[in-house]
Amino acid sequence: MLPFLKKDMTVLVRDRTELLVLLLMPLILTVILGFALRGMMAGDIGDLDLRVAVVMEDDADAGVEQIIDDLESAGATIDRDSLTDSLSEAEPIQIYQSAFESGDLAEMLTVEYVSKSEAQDALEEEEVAAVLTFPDEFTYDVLQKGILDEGDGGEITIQHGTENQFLSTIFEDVVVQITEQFNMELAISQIVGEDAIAMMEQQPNSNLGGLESVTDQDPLSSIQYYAFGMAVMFALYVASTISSKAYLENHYHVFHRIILSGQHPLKYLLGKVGSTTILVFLQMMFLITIASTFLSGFTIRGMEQWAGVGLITILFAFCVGTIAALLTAVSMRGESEVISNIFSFGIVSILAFVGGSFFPTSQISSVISEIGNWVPNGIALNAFLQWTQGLSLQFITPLLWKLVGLSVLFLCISLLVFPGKKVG
Amino acid sequence: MLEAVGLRKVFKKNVAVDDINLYLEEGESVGLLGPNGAGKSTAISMISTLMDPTSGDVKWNGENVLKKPNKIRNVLGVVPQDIALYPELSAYENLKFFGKLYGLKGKELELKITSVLDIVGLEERKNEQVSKYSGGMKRRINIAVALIHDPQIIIMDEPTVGIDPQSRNHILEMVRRLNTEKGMTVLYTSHYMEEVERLCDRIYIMDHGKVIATGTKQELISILSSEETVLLTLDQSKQSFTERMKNLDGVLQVIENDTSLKLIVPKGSRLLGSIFNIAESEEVQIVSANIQVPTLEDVFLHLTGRKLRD
Ligand SMILES: Nc1ncnc2c1ncn2[C@@H]1O[C@H](COP(=O)(O)OP(=O)(O)O)[C@@H](O)[C@H]1O
Ligand SMILES: [Mg+2]
Repeated sequence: MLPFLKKDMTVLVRDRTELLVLLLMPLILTVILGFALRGMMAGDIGDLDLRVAVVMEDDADAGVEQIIDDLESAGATIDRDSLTDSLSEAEPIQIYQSAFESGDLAEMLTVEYVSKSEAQDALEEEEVAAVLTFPDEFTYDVLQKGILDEGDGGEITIQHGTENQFLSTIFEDVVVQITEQFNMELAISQIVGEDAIAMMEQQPNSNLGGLESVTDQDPLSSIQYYAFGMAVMFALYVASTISSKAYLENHYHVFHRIILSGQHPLKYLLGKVGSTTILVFLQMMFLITIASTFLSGFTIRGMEQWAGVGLITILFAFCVGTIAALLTAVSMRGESEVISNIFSFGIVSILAFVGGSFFPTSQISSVISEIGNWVPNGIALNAFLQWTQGLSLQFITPLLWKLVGLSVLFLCISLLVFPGKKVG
Repeated sequence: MLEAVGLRKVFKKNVAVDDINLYLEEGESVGLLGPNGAGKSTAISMISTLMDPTSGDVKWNGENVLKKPNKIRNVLGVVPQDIALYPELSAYENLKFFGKLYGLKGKELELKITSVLDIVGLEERKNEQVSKYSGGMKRRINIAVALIHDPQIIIMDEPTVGIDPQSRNHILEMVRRLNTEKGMTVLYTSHYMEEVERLCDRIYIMDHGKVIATGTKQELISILSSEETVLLTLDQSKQSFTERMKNLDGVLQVIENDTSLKLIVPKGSRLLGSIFNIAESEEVQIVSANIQVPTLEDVFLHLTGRKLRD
């Protein structure tokens, strides 16, 4: 199969115009769209408009009173008034609230305090992406654990809507972040006393109120968005290019020569998968590397993130490879170039559109964005964005499996359609 | 011996190849002559196992190869009618790719490439992309690729279509040498009768999917041995004169070509006197008159009533 790989790749690389389109166009478009539409995302995900409902079942002041009662009944001598004051300032709920209202987060986040039933309605109507519930006795439970080291601590719940998964996972990340920060401060205060908290509060970085962005990364910039959006879009053109070359191979009987050499025709088809995979991988790595080197606003941090980007790229490239095989099989079966042309002049644009390469489709239609979650480029784009925004692997894995599944599907169909050993 | 027995191919309702029989003896050079659309390419595709016949068999040394095509593929070199090459790759890279498909590698492959480039005379320009080649050079490299694995039989489908006379000569000479010097068996398809006449020991003439005549050149021409051709060149073309020629006793056939007329007449018929008389009465000047020995072209004409090439 090696000769096939090498040949397909050389043939494409020798095609200068094609190469320029595949490598330069996405960069140009990234810069144009990235700057033109800056502000749509730029710096602030605020425009993403993350709406959540908060259900407050807890009475924080009662919780504070109750913990002081506990302390007194345990025999501690305390100045009840001053303790009430200082605990009220450090109420855990307030820590969440002030984080929600601070800086960038305040711009992207709209919090509505509602009753439980109102929250459910809002979630069903998709007016909010998630519901955060502070249960009864939350303050007391947290303080009991924190001060007396008794009980299980407080527990908040986040309910995700069926739509807007991306937004609600962002919100969950925010909450987890705040919680961890709070727990850490609490732990430190237990070990070294109040001084530690006071000290940390003087350092803006460790201040909850200074939370920079949802996931401790730079906010998603429009450059980042379009660099990935254009990369996944132009990767699709590799498939149509490879398959239109395959059409020519068939049309001018080069394929006959291959058959006459006694090689199994499937090697030829798998060669298309392999060469497309490699070409797309190189193309996208080129685009991503150029973007991260020359475009400010595009960042991939550390080896771990690069490795993840590489993995997503490989799986997506393979998926495009199977699309190339499918197009090749169809155009050889039909002895026509039409399918490759329809793909490159129509289908790619449609896929790019629903897959969100031009703008985030969740802003215009949840139906389109749902379809976008099932097209390879849409899946890959989501995976890239979520991963580089620092979401954990567990969010990316289902997307990667989807890519694998689609690849297997495309490959099976192309094997069925491929005309096989005889021609005519 | 490679043999086609009762080969037939029907596309939808169009019978492209109609029950043809054909054989190639080892070391023979055989021509397949016929106008465009006669079914030559279709016949060749079936013989080279690329296409399943509607009915009939292809046998290699008595063994049916349609079910086990790989038995014959190694000994077969096929030159398609089209330039079946990668235009983006150089001649060398094309040869290397196809050589590898035949399992050649390393030094052996390099030697083979050098030798076929030498045969087609393109060694000096082997590193240029095929797309930059002239039509004649493309045709030559198209042949070279079919020779890369040292086939015993080479099947060529109109290998000289659309090229200049010099390149054409070069190719014809090359094919002749492959046959006479290397002992390669050749099946040469063409609609140029001069080529087939020059190269081939035996000739099949095809028309409308059928083999209408077969034999050596001499045998074929002797079909016309009872006839001869009178070629007249006139100062003008005149319909009434042509009509009278057609009606003249003893004239079997009249072919018009502008101001020249070809009359096919029985051998030894003394018609020149009457022809000149009619010319005078029709006020047509005969510029020249020629009595010709028949060619394969005339044979084709005789058999089909049409010219080989239009
Ligand atoms: N793949 C095909 N499908 C349908 N008809 C075909 C096909 N290939 C050839 N034909 C028809 O078969 C006839 C013979 O064609 P071909 O073998 O190419 O003739 P030649 O090579 O002598 O010019 C023609 O009428 C052509 O239109
Ligand atoms: Mg032909």
